Amino acid sequence: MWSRRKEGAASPFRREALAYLDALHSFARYLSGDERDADDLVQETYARAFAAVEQFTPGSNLQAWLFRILRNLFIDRYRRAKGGPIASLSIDALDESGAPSVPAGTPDPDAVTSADVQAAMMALPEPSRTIVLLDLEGMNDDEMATILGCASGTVKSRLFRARAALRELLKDYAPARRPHGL
Amino acid sequence: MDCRTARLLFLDGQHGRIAPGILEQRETHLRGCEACREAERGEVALTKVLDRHLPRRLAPGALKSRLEEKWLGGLNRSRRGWRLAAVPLAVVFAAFAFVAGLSAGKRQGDGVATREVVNSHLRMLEGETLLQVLASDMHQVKPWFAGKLDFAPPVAFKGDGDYLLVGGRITRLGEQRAACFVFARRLHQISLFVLPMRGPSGSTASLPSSQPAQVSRGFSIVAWRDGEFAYYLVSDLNPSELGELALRIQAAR
Repeated sequence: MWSRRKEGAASPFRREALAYLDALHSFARYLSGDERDADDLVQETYARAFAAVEQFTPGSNLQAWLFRILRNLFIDRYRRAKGGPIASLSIDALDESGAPSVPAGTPDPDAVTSADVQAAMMALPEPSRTIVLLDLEGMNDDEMATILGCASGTVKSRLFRARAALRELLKDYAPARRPHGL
Repeated sequence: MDCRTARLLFLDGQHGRIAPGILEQRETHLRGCEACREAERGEVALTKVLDRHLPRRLAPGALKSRLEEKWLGGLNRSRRGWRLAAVPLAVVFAAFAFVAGLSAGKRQGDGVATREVVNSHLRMLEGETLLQVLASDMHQVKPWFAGKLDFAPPVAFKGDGDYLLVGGRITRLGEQRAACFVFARRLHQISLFVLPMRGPSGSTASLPSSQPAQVSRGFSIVAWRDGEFAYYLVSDLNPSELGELALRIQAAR
């Protein structure tokens, strides 16, 4: 366990944790959809992490640990604000067996805009949005499983289905359906 | 290998995370399965869409400073002391300069500059003024300005898949000559005016280092100051898309 004695202002732990600030902020921004909420989430994440430093196991993945704290904070806030579960579709519902189906059509990077993509991301249930964002951060299955609190063996199918849902939301931007032949 | 396994390995394939033996099995499956090949094309396209349109949202500088001060604040305080002491003074000075400039600008500067950049953009749209250099390569557009202006416009953004560089021209904004780079997004034309900041009475004197997009006569405008130059982006694009281009231009500096 990380020693309290080492955990001061000059702590290498704090320095290393703060090196993930940009990654955490980007995750928070796309989770919450709001710049101010993202700032608050990141600040509270660091406050909680530094207060609970004994719970971090040296040698384990610090980035995944911080992401997990941030996501749990986001879920707690959402529950408090809405007074209910975070999404109608739980992540367990994504964990189906069988050949994963794919939506028809391929989104065209030249037809879609950033606003469209961000709107589609925000329309995804939180667990799906989270797993897509974690993959974009370059995390592997084990890291994603740590953050999501699920078995590592289910990550691939969850991620595939989350991306399929995103493609479904963006299907109007497939070349065959583009208006005016743009 | 069956379709389920092959499809679940799409992303690992994109990330180069498949062991050689499994990769061979996957390739064999894809060669014989048109449905999975089509599905993989969709996955690759989605990755491109996300890479291009879901940029990383970096933490703002103010947040970085706050967190560093709060959690690393005890570090090297004596060495950083003069900087910390200088910050409030700099903030007060900057706020005073900004407010003073803004009020002066409201009287004589900003409105004029905004009107002039919209007018110049309109003249181009109406065909009254044409692009003087037509090229999508910044290495052709930028040198074209050499010798035609008494300054070299510092623009490093070369255009990208979202905002294509179309060309450039020279225009006059009030009493000043300005470089105008023209970009296109879908069917929208975008003018980027660049001109040196002038003294207190000049039309660009009050420009802040950044500000949200404004709308004037239906055109979106983003204006900012960087060093000794003023930048104005004008287009009938929506303000958020124009703001995104401004961020890319600023990031490329």
